[in-house]
Formats: sequence, structure tokens, C-alpha cells
Amino acid sequence: MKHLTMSELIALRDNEGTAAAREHLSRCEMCTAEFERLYQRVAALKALPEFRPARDRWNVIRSDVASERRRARRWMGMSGVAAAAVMALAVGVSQLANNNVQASTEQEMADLMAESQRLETMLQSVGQPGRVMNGLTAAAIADLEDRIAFIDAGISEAQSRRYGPADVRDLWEQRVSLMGALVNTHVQQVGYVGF
Amino acid sequence: MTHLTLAALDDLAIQRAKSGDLGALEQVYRAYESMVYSLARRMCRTPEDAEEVLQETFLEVCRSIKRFRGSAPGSLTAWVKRIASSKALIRIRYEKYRETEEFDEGGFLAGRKDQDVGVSVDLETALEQLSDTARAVVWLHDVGGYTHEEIAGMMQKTISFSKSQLSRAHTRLRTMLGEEIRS
Ligand SMILES: [Zn+2]
Repeated sequence: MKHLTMSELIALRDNEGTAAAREHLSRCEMCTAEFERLYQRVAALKALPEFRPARDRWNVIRSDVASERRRARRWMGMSGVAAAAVMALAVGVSQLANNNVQASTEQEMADLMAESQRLETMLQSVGQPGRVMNGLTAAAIADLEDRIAFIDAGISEAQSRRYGPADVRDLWEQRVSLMGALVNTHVQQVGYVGF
Repeated sequence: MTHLTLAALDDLAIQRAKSGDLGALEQVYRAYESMVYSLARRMCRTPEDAEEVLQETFLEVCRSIKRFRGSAPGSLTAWVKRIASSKALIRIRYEKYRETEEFDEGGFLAGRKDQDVGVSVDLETALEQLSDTARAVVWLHDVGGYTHEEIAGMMQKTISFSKSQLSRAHTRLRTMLGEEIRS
């Protein structure tokens, strides 16, 4: 008699098993015991105690967040492109009713810029030129780089035409998302084992 | 286990955290640090990696919480957990990448993966013996409650990859744990 495999047992547990497997389970003691063991294992996994970090990390996180905010503001102040972004933001500030929205959009944009910068730094450490990569990955990277360049052009355009801050923010959001994908693609293509 | 800590996080604190208030963000951190750290410890190899994941997760939480739109009970928990899972997966990938660089195609790694210890061991030890990927999948699916589809999405892999890793993990655990589970 052919007993159920682990995949079949798991499928049954997840309500994805076949009728034949369920039928076998109903009349095979060995498989029933194995099925029960699967449940026990998962229950034991869920019952494992929580860990607590050995050190309190909040101070480090808080100071990182604070310095990111400072950096983002400084960067906005220095970069020409970003200075235009501040101008674009200032356009709406006269609308007092929108003040809160304005401030939160500004903060969001500062965060997005900081994130974008962080990803640029990460990219420098993983995306070393001259690395061998397969054609598909190279094409994906080129595509992402093109799209980022396109977004950058959009950001300049939006700023020169003084689009609303929400529009500029959305462009930064897209930039961060594309940068994230780019970093990920670089990390992934470096032939790690596993996965 | 998270219910006790979460009681302290009321809507007002969440609103303040969303506005960037560092005191309120600390409350969020306190409410979730054990949950995130535990998840990271289970998925990653070392306490140091888990601490990194804890830190990266909350940096991300602090940056993005203003864009968190959930209102249902538990949605903040689910959101934080998803960030933590994804940071842990990135860390696992990053560690592999680093080792590939340092040890030139895994002579070092090969010795560590999926050892069968032969005798019955406790659950903690057995978990540690799994490959990083198998351990991550078993944790995300069986404890975290993520579907294979969600795991495949997070890992950028196929659903059948996630399923086969889960089955592989259980086969290994079954062998190592023997008839009884001692935790
Ligand atoms: Zn059977």
C-alpha cells in the first residue's frame, strides 16, 4: 500500500487534498498517525515562547529617524531640484485651510526623498558595474533604470511647472518604489544559492 | 500573546504616530518589538540578524506609518508583521549574497544546510537545522498564517516553490523530531 507523502498530508491539512488522498487517510492508521503528528508539530511551533531582544533598539531607531528627517530637510534645502520642490510646495501654502495637509505632504515627501537617497546608497554597494549577469536580468535592470530616468524627468517637469505638492509627492513615491525594485533585482541577480 | 501589549495602543496613539510624533512611535515600537523580534529570530539565523531586522522594520514603520490606512482591529498588527516578514526575507537573501561573495560559491554554506542530526532533538534545535528558506516558509505559513500565494509574492518565487519548501521543512522536522515532540 502506498502511503501519503508529506505534501499530500499538508495539502489535506490545508483543505487542498484530493478525494483519493482523503479516502486513503480515512482508512490508514499509519497515515492518520502521521497526519496527527503534523498537527502536533504545528501546534508546538505556535507554542514556542516569544523572544525578547537582548538590547533595547528604540534609541538607535529614534536617532536614525531623527537624523533621516534632518538629512532630508537639509538635502531639500541644498539640491536645486529639491529647492524647486519646496517652491512647488510653497505655492499652496497660502491656502490656509490646506495647511495641515500641506505640512504632512511636505513631511511625506521629505521621507520619500530620504528613502530614495538610502536606496541610492544601497545600490552603490550592490550594483557594482562589470558584474556578470544574465540577459533577462540585465534587461530588467535597464528597464527599471529607464523608468527611473523618466520619473526624474517628470519630477523636474512637475517642479518647473509648479504642479501641486501631492503630484510631486506621488512621483517621489514612484521613484522610491522603482529604486526598491532596482536594488532588489541587483541583490537577486548576484547568484545567491538557496531560494 | 500580542493582545496584552496591544491594549496599550489606542487609536489616539496610532493617529499621533501617523503624524510622526516620536513618543507615539515609541509606543508602537513597545507594542510590537517582541512580536517582530521573535518572528525575526525564527526566520533568521542569528540574534544579530534578528536585531537588524527589528531595527529595519521599525525604521520602515516610522517612515511609512503615515501612509498606513487600515482601520480594522488588528490591521496595524498585520501591517507591521508583513513589513517584518519582508525585512527578514531580505536579510536572509542578503546574508546568502554576502556569503556567496565571501566564500565563493558556498563551500561554507554547504556544510550547514539541512543537516540530519540522526537522533531526536528538540523543536528549537530542529528548526535551526533547516535551511533558511525552508524555515522561513514553515514559519510564515504554519505560524504566520500566510498563504502560499502570499509567500510566493514576498519571496518572488512560485506557489509550488513555497509548497515544496514547506513539505521539505516538515519532512526534515519529522525526521529530526522522531515520534515525539519535545519543545
Ligand atoms: Zn497510509
